[in-house]
Amino acid sequence: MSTGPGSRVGRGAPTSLQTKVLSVGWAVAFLVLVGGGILFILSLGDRNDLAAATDTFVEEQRVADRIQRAVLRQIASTSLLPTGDVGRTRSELRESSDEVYGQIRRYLFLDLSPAQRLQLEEMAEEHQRLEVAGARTTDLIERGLLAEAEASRDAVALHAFRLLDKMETFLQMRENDLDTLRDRQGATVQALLAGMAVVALLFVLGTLLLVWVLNRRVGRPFQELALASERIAGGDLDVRLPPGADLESRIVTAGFNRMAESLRRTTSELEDRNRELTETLATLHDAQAELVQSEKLSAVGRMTAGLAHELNNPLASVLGYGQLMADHLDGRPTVDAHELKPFIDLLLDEAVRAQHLIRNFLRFSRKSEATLAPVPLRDPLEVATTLRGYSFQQAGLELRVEEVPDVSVRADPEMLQSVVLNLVNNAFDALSPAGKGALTIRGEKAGRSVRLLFEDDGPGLDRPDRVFDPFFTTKSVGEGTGLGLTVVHRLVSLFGGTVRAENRPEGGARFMLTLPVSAPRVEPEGPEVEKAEAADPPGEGMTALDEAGPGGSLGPRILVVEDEAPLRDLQERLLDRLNAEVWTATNVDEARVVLAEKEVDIVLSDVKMPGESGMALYRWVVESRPELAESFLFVTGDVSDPELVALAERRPELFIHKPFDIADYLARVSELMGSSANGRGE
Amino acid sequence: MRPTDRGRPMSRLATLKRRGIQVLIFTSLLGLPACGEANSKVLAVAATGTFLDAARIAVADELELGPISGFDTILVEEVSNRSGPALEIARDLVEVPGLLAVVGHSNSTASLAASQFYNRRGVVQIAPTSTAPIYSDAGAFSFRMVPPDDVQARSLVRNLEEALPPGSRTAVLYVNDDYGRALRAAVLKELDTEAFPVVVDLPHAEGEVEEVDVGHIVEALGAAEVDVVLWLARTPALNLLLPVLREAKGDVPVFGGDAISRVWFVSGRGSWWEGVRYLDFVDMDATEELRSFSERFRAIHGVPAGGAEALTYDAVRLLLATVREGADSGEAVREYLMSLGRGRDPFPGITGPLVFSEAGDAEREYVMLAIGPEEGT
Repeated sequence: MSTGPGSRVGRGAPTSLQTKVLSVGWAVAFLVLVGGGILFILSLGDRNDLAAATDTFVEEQRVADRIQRAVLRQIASTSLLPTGDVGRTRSELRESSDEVYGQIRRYLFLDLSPAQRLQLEEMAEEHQRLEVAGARTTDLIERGLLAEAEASRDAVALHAFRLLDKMETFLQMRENDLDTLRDRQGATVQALLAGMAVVALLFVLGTLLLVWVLNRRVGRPFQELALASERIAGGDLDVRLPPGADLESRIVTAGFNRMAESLRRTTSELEDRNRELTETLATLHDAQAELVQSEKLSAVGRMTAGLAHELNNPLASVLGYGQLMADHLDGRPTVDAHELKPFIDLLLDEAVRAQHLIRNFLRFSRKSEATLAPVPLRDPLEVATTLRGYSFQQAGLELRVEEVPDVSVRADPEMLQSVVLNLVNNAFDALSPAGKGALTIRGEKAGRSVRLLFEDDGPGLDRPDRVFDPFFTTKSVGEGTGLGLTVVHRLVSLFGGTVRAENRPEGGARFMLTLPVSAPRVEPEGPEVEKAEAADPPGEGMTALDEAGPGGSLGPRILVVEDEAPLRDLQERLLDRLNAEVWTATNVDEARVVLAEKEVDIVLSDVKMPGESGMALYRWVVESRPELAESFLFVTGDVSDPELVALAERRPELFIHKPFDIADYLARVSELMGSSANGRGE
Repeated sequence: MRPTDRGRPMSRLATLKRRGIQVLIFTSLLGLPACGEANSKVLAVAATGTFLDAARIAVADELELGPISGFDTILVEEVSNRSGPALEIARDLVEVPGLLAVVGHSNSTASLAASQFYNRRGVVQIAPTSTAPIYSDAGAFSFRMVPPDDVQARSLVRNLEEALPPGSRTAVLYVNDDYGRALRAAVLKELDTEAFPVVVDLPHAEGEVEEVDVGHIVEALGAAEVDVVLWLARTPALNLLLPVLREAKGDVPVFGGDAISRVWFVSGRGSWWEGVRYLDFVDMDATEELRSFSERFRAIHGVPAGGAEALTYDAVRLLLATVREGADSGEAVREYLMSLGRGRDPFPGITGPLVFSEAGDAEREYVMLAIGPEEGT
């Protein structure tokens, strides 16, 4: 086998393998037939010779018997003389002589050898003498010359025996012929056996030749073809077969080489197309992400009013209760803590409420890559109701979440949130013009999937079959991008689920999500909202802070980098509870100075600050003070920086998210203090 | 063909010579073939000497008509009437390359014995004087210049009955071979044995002439008081018998068959032959051609030619003419002979127009001759 397009130039048009195989087959058959035919003809000729010789021998034996009988009759006839009837004796002699003569002459026309013919002529001459003697004997007896007749009779017997002897010799010659024929038959049989052996050998050789030809011209090319095919299957598209010696193999190898060349060219083209498609897909993916983000931002814009109101409420409460507390404290030298406790609890509740609003809003607006994981189905519904409940209420609408199975679905949390909010917003937009109506969200399990139904009693859909088409919208310009439901459709498809839109028979629209159920994910430990919610309530935390009180043994040395003075002061106060030695800096430059001059065990840094960001400080620490890299915590509410988001996803333990829960804050720092102390103790 | 030109025929013929058979002449008819070049057509004559002389004359006469390309003649003399030598000659002749035809042999027994060799090799045989009926069955390549014995027997009996009165006691003496047995049977079939009772019917063997028991025969003839003798045998034996017969029975008439025509070549022939009548195939005085031939023959031998020699002459001339006409194989010669009188004119021989029957027999009548006091009939 060759990897190049080798050729055998100048050999002329190849002969068909079929022709060659048939030629070899015919040649073998011809040789066998010819050999068999020759053997048959040889055996037939000898068999005919033997049959003819046998017939001749039988006939000659009859002739010989007749001659012998006639001669014996002649002897007997003369032996009866002179007492017998001479005339009758003469007649008998004549008849016997004629019989002998006729029988001897029958030999004349047989195929005799010269020696046999000579012997035959001697027999004839001896018979002549016998006849003469017989005639002489009868003549002498008739004339009464008995003594002479006696002698003549002896001559008859003498010639008779001589005749018989000569005939015996003649017959012996003929028997010798038979022996020769028999020997020739034996030789022929041996020749036949040898011929059969030769024919068999020819057959075997012919068969071997045929097998050799088939192996060389069929088996080997096919083996090479198989190996070449395997190489092609293995990705080696440059393999080529040399042209075969036969017409068929040339056709096959040429076809294979053309196929390989076509495959190589096609593969190359496919690779180019695939590269282009990959690039296009990446572009589309980016565009889709941008669209999603754009739609999110659009939704964010539309939710801003509600969000502002939601935030205004707790802020109003905080402001109000704060003013009440200020009024209450105004002019009083001492204050009973019990009197302040209800106000502080209310302040904390309202602050937590504002915290939830902000976090959910930020989570929704965050731009991130899809990461499919088990997501509790109820979470996005809770966020949606949180974010959009007030809007529905203000518009005179009703947002109801009915029974939803406590299951997790396989989805990206933020993207699933976006899906739910888009569907809620879509219903809100449809219902709000009428100033009445309700959106009911309910779920039900269906085997290994769960269906989530969004049903409203609004005007319904004009074209349910087109609502997921890009830029298909019935809203006025500026009310939407026309991509909300398209994004919903693509994201649900990304999750492996489906979404269907239809009009309800009783009026209104229905969107039905079908999502694959997944096992719930074990949430990693970290500064999540849920964990903050699970922590001690603010009031209890304050109590805990009160109970901890200032003072205590020498704590860790902590650098707080924060441009906002209240937050910087707050953290100083909180860290004081940990008996920490706290240095502060308002920007990254000041932080570097502190780190250069002071012994610092822990760095707590904001991200967005005038000048360099907290990420720049972190990178500097990792590079210049690697021993502090594991004792660095970001205290931030910023989720817009992609680098920061990526780091948060990869190292969530490095982050304390604003607004933070005091207890959570202290717990995270204490945890880090333990690690730092252990480091220092080493 | 020159004797030294070709080894094989020479070796064969040399074999014949070693066996005492005289190979008389190798005659190159034309002298055209270059020395050492083989001729492809050969004619052989195998017979007694007088037959060969006749053949020699025939060859000479044929040469006067012009040369025959690539043709030779082999003349082989038979010195015995027995079949054995004839067989040996025939056996060796058929091995001669290019042999087309053989004129021979001298008598029925010899011709008959040799006939199977020629037939099996596709060589035409023309027997000049063989009359045995069985020769008609010898084969397709066997021809003869005379008819079978029944014609001769009819002629012989007719002459006998015309010459002798009824009641003549007849003696049939025959040589007990193919010739004599057949001729005897034919004669007895033709003879009115009531008018001409056969009182003696004796065979004799003629393997060697000395075997003939002349004394017994004469005694038998005397005892039977025969009036006429039918001699159905050859001349040498009769030459032994006649002196004794003349002494015992005086001038008892003797009628002989065609074999007596050889009487002129019998050495020691005496006056006892006078009056013997015999059948000959041809009346040599019948035509000028025959007389001329006979005289030419007499110039060689001192005695006139008989019918046998004239028939030999015609047989040789016929075969030479056949070859001259282009026959180049035994089969072609055979076809030529069979075409005579059948799309081709009969051959104009000195013995008369010549055609052959389907059995290969020539059609002709016999003539009865009587031996005079001197060399004449």
